[in-house]
Amino acid sequence: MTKKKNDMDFGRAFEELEQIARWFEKGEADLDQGLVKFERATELAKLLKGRLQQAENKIKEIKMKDETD
Amino acid sequence: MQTMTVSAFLAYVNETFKAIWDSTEIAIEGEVSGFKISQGQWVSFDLKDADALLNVFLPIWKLQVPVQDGLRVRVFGLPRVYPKYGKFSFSAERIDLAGEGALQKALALTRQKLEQEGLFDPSRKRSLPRFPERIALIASRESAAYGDFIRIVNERWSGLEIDLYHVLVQGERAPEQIARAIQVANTPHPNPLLRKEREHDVLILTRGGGSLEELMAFNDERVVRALYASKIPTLVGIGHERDLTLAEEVADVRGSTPTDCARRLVPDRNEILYELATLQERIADDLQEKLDYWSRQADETVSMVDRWLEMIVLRSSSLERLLRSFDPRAVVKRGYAIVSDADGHPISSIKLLSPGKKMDIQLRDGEVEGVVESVGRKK
Repeated sequence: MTKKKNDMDFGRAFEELEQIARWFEKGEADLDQGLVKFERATELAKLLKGRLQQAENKIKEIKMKDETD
Repeated sequence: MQTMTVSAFLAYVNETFKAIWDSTEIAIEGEVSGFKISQGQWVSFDLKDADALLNVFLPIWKLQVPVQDGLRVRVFGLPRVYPKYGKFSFSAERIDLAGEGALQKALALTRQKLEQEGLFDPSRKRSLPRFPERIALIASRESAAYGDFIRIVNERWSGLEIDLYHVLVQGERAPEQIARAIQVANTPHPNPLLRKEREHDVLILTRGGGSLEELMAFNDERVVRALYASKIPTLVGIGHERDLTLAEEVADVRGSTPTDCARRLVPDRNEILYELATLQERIADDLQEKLDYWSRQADETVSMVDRWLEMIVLRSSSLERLLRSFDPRAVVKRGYAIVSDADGHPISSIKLLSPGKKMDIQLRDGEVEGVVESVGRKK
């Protein structure tokens, strides 16, 4: 397979989003940082949703050497 | 008289055995003792009864049933003298388990042995990643199990890369193929740059229901050991809920059926979409709360500055009143006079005056210029 593994790692992106949610919950009050994080969260959520609504599962059969069937 | 070489004689003996012995019709039954596998490919053991012993030898791929010391088996094959050492043995073609419940007994023995070795130890079970990206699926592409698994995965999730390793899931060649597929799936990609992205997150082994005989490939020691050695976390679901094979016992996670495997492998898209929406909402709420807090803080600062300004204004007006009360012009208005010298400096003492000196006198409604006639102390 020459195609790269999914450009976005779903697990990692989801975890980043959860981290942002935790950051907000902790109640750190920095307005600039808050706005940057909010923007990132919105972007992540959009990517994740997009990936769930579009991509299909891909099946590829792997031939094993020395096998006749 | 005839003489023969040793080689020729043993070849003659072996030929004779071959001619007179029906290897498909006659089996020798006895109890296994001293079972041994050498170099991972040769099996040897002694077949015994109360009074006699026969050495049995066969390549491992011909061994299709779990054989252990103490088991009763029926051995099909040919008697043979191994010329190099002159040793008589029985070269087996096939081995069957003998007696009532033999398969269960064999399975129990294998289970016991592997359990003692720690293969089923719960402490070594790994958990599966929540969102796998790439998986190795070992199954028969023609099986209903495969169809069910793929259907459920497609219903639930997307973006998954599935590498299918098609294998036989029953019969004598199945265990070898399955064990090999597990090893191949675990082999790192030869190109180090591609290694990471080609890695499998989960290895799945699955097949549908069947009789104990049909499921025996999943109780095969080779398969169980290959799963045990897998660096990829394993998810195994064989047959129905009630069938528990050794492959499932050694797996990191057991799925009771192929569809259950699919459910354990990937989350439900809708649940994750809901979770995403909830997360987003929570973040937005938290941000709003913070914005409210910040604007309250700002309001407070503004009103503090307001109050401060007000106070300043208040203070300055009373100061003004005070200052105004000191204004000498106000005193003049009340009927007093201010005396100053020609340069406008106020004169408050006779010491500053002498006869003939000019002075200004300010009164309520104007000024008077005058000259001092005489100066005298207060009487």
